[in-house]
Amino acid sequence: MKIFLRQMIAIVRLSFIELLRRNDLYALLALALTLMIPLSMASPFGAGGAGRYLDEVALLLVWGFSLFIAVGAGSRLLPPEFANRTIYPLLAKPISRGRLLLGKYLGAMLSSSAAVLLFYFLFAGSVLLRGGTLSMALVEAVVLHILFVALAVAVSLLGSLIFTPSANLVLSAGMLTAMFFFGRRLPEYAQGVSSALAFVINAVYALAPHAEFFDMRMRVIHGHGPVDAVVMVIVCLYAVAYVAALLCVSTAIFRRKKV
Amino acid sequence: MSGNSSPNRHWLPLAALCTAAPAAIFALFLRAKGPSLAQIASGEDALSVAFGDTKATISRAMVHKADSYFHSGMDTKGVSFADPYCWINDRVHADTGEHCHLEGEKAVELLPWLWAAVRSDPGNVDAWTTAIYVAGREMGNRALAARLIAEARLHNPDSLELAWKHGMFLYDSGKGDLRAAREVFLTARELARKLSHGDVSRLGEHDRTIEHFVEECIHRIDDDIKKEPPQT
Repeated sequence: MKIFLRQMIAIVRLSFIELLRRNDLYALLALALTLMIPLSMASPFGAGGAGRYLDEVALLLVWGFSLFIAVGAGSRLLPPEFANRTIYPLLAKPISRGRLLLGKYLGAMLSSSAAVLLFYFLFAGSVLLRGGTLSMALVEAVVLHILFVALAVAVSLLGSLIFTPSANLVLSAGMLTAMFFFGRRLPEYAQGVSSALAFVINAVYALAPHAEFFDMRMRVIHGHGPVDAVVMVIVCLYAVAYVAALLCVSTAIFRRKKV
Repeated sequence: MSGNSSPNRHWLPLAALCTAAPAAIFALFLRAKGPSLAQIASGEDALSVAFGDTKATISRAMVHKADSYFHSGMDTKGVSFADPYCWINDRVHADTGEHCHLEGEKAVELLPWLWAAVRSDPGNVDAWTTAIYVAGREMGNRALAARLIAEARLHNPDSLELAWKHGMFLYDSGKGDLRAAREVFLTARELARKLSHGDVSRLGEHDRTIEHFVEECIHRIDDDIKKEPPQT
């Protein structure tokens, strides 16, 4: 157990260093400030006092950036190791492929979650600066957002073992974005179409990762209060189960992969 | 070297697309400002020609967003499905089943979206009328409402609905400037005749209803003016 933990900590530490070394995070922060500062100075029709639209745009940026970071981190875990042949010294060490994959996943997930926490810290600061208050719903929103990041990293990690890097990026980000915006509408779309198409839509609805479960933006923006504890537990269990299933499939593929 | 590609290289097409798309839009915008392209587009803004439908779609989406804000973010979906995913979604999102509205001063939250709607498509009369309603009725800011009406009519001189709204704004439930309101209603009646080439029965149902209201308002104001005590 001690060895397992030491191995995990070493791999996770490497992931954090990798995130800080890449310039993605700094570029995204600069982009966010570039967009938000002029927007916060705007007064539509010359009438001041509106603030919810700022929260909405800020949270949308947080979601977009977190997806960018999570999918990027997940898709970069293994392909560069194969391309640069650094996978050989890693596999030569006394660590199983399953543990290596789990460690890399945890590192990417935790480093992406740290970026999300930083974004939410800035968001909370902007709310307080405008005289707003923070609610319990925001804490729940952060928890669900981190679960979404865990899901996104797992999806792109699995994709990186199946597809080419470019295809993986497009498919993973595309699927998660589509489910985020349209996931809850799929049953409506399945009505009034041909039975074959309805079958496909219902299959997607049943199997695809429901990214929209983790979206509490409207509750935070409009102050509707926190989600019921039972629902929170169910969503957490859904995320854990889905990530576990994805990691099991990824491990199975990685074990069979010829390097 | 072929197998030694940097992972960052895979982001390059996406980054290039993200850079090129705004650059192309900006370039089109700059060209649209030039006189040559404006002539090619027969006097119309070339941006409107190139992105007319897109701008109208964005404008409608902004009005939809304002409507969502009016209902405090409550989703107005009509169908609910009895499956576990739908159950979770209904509880995570802001569907509390209550019907609530942003009223009074809080309605100012709708203005940014309506502003975006009319800037995307100044011909979106729904966006203008909603903004006028929010400013005048909800926020009680008549000066802002008057400014919005003036701007809306400038962009939509042939809108019967805006002319009627203008008249109603001046009439102010009988408490406003009756003579000014009458003048605007008379202009609206003329506009209805002009749009229908003298036969108002040829107007669409919506405009015909407005034309009917305009006639009613003119008669009502005439009656009100007759009841006024003679000025000494």
